[in-house]
Amino acid sequence: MQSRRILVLVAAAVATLSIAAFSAADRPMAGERPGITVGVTKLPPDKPATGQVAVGVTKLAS
Amino acid sequence: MANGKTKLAVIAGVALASSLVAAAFAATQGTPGATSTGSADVRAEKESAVSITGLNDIVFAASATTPAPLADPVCVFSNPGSYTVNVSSANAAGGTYRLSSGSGFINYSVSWFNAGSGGATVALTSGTASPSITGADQTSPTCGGGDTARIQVTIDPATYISAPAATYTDTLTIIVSPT
Repeated sequence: MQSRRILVLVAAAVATLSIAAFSAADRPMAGERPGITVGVTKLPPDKPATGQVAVGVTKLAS
Repeated sequence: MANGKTKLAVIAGVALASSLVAAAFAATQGTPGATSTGSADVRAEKESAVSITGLNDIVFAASATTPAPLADPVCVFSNPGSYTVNVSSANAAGGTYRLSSGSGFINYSVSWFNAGSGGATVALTSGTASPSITGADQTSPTCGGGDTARIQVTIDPATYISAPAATYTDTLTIIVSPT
């Protein structure tokens, strides 16, 4: 009687694990995911450029 | 005896369950196949880039009278094609450009043209960014050896005439930003 109960429990456990196994198999693997977005953003954007210019004049006496 | 059977059944159950769990992990892990197919969206955000080259000092010929304006052609590269320019004077008073002799000053104005010759002009104020200017080279940081803009300096006749004879200098710092 007890052995029967044990066997029923084992059968139930096996059924549960089988369902779990199928669920896991249905999950997409890392390399099979469709629509993966790969992106890169280089920072900082819009860096300005600078330069210098000297301005000069010699005023002569009039 | 029944106890022994029970133990045996439990052990068998656990072994079976373990093998099923292992099988489940094997099924999810897998290995890449030769015909594996997937899709991916690749997105790259390229930052705006800008440069200014070809700058030369602007030196007027010595003169007792107000010299004519001088312009310096420059190359502005901006991959969006437009930019703002902020030209500031080391001797500025407010937004006014000034040449200094150390003791006296001569005012002058700065204009920016969006072409090496001709083009539209923008009057600048020292320390203030201009409105957006178009006409930058979008492909070549050296403008292919040409110029896409020019900076023009015009000396104020009133302050020039009244200034004492001396050498007057200033340094302009130019900041170009893409827009």
